[in-house]
Amino acid sequence: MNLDEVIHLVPHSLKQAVSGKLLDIILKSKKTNKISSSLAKTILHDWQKDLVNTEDGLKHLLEAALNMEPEKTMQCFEKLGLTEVNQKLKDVALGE
Amino acid sequence: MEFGIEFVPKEAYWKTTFYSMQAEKRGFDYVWITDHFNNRNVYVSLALVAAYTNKIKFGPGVTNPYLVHPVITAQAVSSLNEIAPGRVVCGLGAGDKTTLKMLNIAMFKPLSTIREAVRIIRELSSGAKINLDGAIFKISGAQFLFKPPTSVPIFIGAQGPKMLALAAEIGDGVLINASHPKDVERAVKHVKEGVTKAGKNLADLTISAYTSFSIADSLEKAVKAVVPVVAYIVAGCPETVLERHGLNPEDASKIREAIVQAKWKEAFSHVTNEMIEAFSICGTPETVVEKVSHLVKTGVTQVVVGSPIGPNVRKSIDMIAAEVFPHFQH
Repeated sequence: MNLDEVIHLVPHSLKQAVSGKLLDIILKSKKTNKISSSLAKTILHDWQKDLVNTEDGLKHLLEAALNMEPEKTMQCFEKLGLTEVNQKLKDVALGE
Repeated sequence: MEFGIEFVPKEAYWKTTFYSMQAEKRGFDYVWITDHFNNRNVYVSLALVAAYTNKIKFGPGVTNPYLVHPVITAQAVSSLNEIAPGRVVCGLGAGDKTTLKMLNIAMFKPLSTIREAVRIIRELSSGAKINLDGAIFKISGAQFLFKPPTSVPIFIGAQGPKMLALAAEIGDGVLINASHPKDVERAVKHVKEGVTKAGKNLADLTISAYTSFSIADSLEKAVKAVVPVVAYIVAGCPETVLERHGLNPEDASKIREAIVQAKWKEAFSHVTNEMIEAFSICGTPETVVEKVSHLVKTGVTQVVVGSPIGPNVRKSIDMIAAEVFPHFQH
């Protein structure tokens, strides 16, 4: 799934809000078996180096969130008013 | 004034690591990770904390010498100290009866056990050779084959008067398992007696209130998160402590019975506001600041933010840093 295009649509001003929402989805999810150990370690590395709000950091969070809680992830963009991002995400997901 | 935070490794390893890094970024001084055999291993969790953080102090909070032999504890904390020199602390207590009972381990002579365990951990983690013909442990010439970088400060988890006095006498720090100023004040009195008896300087001892803590932007949310934790505390609470807070032991029995039968909803329904008040620091930032201020007045030098922390741990950590820390010299 090419998530670069999706993340690219997130306005700079909302990147921190998006990372916060995605982090909450990941941290609250009980479906920890849906995230690979290598992706978890990548996210820890991003967090350690303050990279979670960068495009790469957001992409890693989005990948984890989609694996763990796809519906909640879609809703999170909708709630932030990022309809275009949400639509792109659906297109990318359907295109898989 | 120092702030510590407790994590229970019941969640996947990366969540505990994430929150520990967040605690460091937001200015906490200590991360304490609980040691129960039925959760993730405490030292595996701490190894990741050591690897992913740079300045925060951390350690088991607390391990016990009944389940883990003190030479193994000394080995574990000394190995961690190699990864993060000078940042490792060791929380040690007599353990919790429920867990030990499950494993058919008796809590035999807790005071002697802790005294001897502290000696073993301290000497081994300092690189010394130890011979001990104790009442509990017999050790003949044990020494590590590696050189630990520094000795590891030992914090003793205590509740009763004798253990509190012992902790003050032989510990580098005391972890008082209480949230209410009334209980903490009482404990600090015993700690001060122990310090005097040992001829120590009170300023050399870190006195910590190891609290049950829940902070949120509304009281309702904070209460909802803390109720299960308070239910467990009340269920295991001695009658004398319940009576000190004007709580009815019969209500505690109801909670205990419901927990034993795994009727969680019923157990939690018996938790009252008075119980929450007695056994937790719970509320909005404003309330929490007021309650922490009361604790500080008792003489504690560290407040440990213990489970559940809040309904959303990530947001609660940020909230503590932004709205609680500025009120204290930290």
